[in-house]
Amino acid sequence: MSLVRYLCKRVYHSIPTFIGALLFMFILVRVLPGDPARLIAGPEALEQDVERIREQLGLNKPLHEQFVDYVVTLIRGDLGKSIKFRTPVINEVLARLPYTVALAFVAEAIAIAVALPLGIISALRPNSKLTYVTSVLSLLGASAPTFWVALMFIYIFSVNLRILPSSGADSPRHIILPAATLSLLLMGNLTRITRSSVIEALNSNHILTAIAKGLRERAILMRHVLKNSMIPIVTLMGLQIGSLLGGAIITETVYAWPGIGSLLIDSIFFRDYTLIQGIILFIVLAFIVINIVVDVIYAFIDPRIRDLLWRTG
Amino acid sequence: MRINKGVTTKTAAILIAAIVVIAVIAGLTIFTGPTKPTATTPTTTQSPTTTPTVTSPPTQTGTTKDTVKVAIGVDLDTVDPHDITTTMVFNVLRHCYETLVWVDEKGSVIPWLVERWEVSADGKVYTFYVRKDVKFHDGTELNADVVKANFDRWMDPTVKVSQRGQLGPLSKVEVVDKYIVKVYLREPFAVFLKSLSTYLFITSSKVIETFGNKSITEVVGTGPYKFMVWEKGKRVVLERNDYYWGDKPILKRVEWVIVPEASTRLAALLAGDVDFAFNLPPTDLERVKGDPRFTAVLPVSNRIIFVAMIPRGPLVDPRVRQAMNYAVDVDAIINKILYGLAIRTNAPLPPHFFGYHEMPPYTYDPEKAKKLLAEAGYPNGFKVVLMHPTGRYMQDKQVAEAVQAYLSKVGITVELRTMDWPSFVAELRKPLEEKTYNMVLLGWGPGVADAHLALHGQFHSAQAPPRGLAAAHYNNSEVDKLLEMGMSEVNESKRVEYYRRAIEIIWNEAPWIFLYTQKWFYASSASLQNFRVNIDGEQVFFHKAYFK
Repeated sequence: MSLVRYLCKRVYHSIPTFIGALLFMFILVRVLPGDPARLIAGPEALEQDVERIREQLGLNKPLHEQFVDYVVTLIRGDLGKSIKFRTPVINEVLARLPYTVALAFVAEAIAIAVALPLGIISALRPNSKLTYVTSVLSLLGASAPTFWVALMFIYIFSVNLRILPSSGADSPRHIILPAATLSLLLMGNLTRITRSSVIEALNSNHILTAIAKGLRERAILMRHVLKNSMIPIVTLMGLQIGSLLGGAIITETVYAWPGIGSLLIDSIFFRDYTLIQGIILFIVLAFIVINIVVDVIYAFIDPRIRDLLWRTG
Repeated sequence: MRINKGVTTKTAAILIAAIVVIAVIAGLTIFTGPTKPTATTPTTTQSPTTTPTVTSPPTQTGTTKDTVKVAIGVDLDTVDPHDITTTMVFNVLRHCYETLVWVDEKGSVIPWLVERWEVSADGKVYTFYVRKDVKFHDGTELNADVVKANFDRWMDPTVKVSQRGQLGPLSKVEVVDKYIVKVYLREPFAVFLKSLSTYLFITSSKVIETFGNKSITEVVGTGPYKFMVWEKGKRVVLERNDYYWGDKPILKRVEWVIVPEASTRLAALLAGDVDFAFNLPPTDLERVKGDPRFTAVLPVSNRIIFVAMIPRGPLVDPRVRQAMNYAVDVDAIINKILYGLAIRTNAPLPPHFFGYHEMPPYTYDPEKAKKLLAEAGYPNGFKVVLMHPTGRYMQDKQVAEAVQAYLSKVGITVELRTMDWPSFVAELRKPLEEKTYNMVLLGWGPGVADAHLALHGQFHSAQAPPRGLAAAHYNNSEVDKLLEMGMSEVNESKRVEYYRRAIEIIWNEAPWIFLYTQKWFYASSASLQNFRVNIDGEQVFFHKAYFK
């Protein structure tokens, strides 16, 4: 099938991006000042102990040898062992992954559920009160610091009202506050993009045609306006999910949500080179996959793009 | 413009499908997390770290409170009894593993897994008489062979033991009898017993055989609690060991909940989600103190905070360094910036350390500071760079700013250089020639409360960077000699005398701006009783805790 061939082509083209990102990351984490062996042992540790740790981790080897070691193990499908946890990196990442995926998608779902209707309504009725309220709220949501919003939510819903748990990830109830916090960030942009692309679609000629030929408003909206305004919305959703899969560092940290983001920040503080590399590798992978998925969705939404992407190719 | 009737429905279907897929994926992923309280699921519970003794998953049933929930800031990084480097990890695992000896509330060494011990006259041979009634969580028995196996693993160079040097110059271990074991040192090592109480956790021979020189991932100790579940990034659950050899623990379960953000730990305590919280934001001290539902716990830590002065330029002159000490109002810093969460330390080590000797304080006196500076030939002051970490010590940045402000009042211009912790340590380790700063704000918190560990690492000339982290590059041959004698002398009153002399020299030469010993800010719910704060001020034990 042409779709399959298209996917193969896309995957093939992603390989240089992937390798480039890995190399860049490998060098970057090592350029950062800081010595993992000293950080593991602690400042009060004896020098002989620190030196031994350095040897055991292979950190006393020259940089190019370390890179060769890394690539060789990577080719064997091994991400190496975490410097801090002494366990395979893949285990650490996989243990945290479900939490990040859950948080990302629930947050995005909440954002879509709120932002799409609001965006459409405010495009259709630009002067209504709801539109004003929406634009103010979406601005607030996008600009309030996440850290502050998260703590406010905890104080309101956990400490004062006592209806939701303050932190952790023990039940579906635990996801509500972090997902709501994150979705506030996403909603603003999503509402604005929906509104502007709906307005743009409304102003195009074929809508005029549709009105002229007497289609019902509802049909025009569903069949012509929404479909034509979907591309930028889907693009934004893709980007949002892609970056959320990289872990929402602040939200995860404040809510003690054990996802990729809090793992990444920990591993950076410990200069856990192998773990940082493993997480970044995963994030790069997630971005590449999401991008391909978004392109495929385009093609399903818009036949013109489908022609462009694989029918003609 | 192509009009295709089929596409409308298809698009709608795809969009709905996408949302459904999102919902399903999200639903599924939540499900893989333990939806029922602490159900053990394959994705979240790392099976290697769960002991095989797990009989049933812990449940949170009933209203009788038999679980204490403790909020901590960091996750465990390892459970290997011989490779722990973080105090918090020691604290959690000390409920499962035990040590041969222990320290009491006054800091004296007391027997624990051994009934008693003897030290040879030359201080090089320790004979331990192992307790006879102790069983490990795996059912095996503690005896001299087990003790030897633990020492041997600690000394084995193929095993990763990050703190190996902390047990001193170990030579060999010999089993004399089923319950008698002799430990030989190459040199006398004064803090050997205290180090044993801090560093050497004892695990069973079976575990040591199973894991060999690989990292141990199974927690088998002799302690009052058994290690049940470790959900990475989330929690560690310990359950009562009903066959414990000592006083039976009262609470059935201790649950350590990992909450990285200090404000969230406080919120979790206020919301009743946890019963005890470590390391809270000092800004909230008054609020907790004023709330009858909670008890503030404010132990003095093992960590002394100071500004080390690198002996170059004006700072070579001891008068200048003394002037710096007179110029900074330490009491004001403690009261106004640290919310009282520190105590003034008139010696280069915390007051509860063995060997502490109180010196007459450098009382805040800017006029005297100016006079000393003028005497040294700097009536108009000079310019220095002060490097400090951020987010590492309580209010570290604010303290550095206060020091800057005080020094500017006596004419010394201070430029601050702020660094994140890893970069800061890298900078600290550079040799003298490569250092581009003159002063550094640092904390020093040894695991063992003894003058040897507090002073040797900071004032022995061999510990100057890049070899060690003696931040002031202090070099005094008399102090070197006293510190060496203090390290190898077994007689306590002689040690006290050596350290007194060393402290007097250091205090008068003032290689540091001597600041304070930090206190911790922990809090518990008022109903939680009888937990014990360790002498080091860092660890809290719940062996005997209960709810009122």
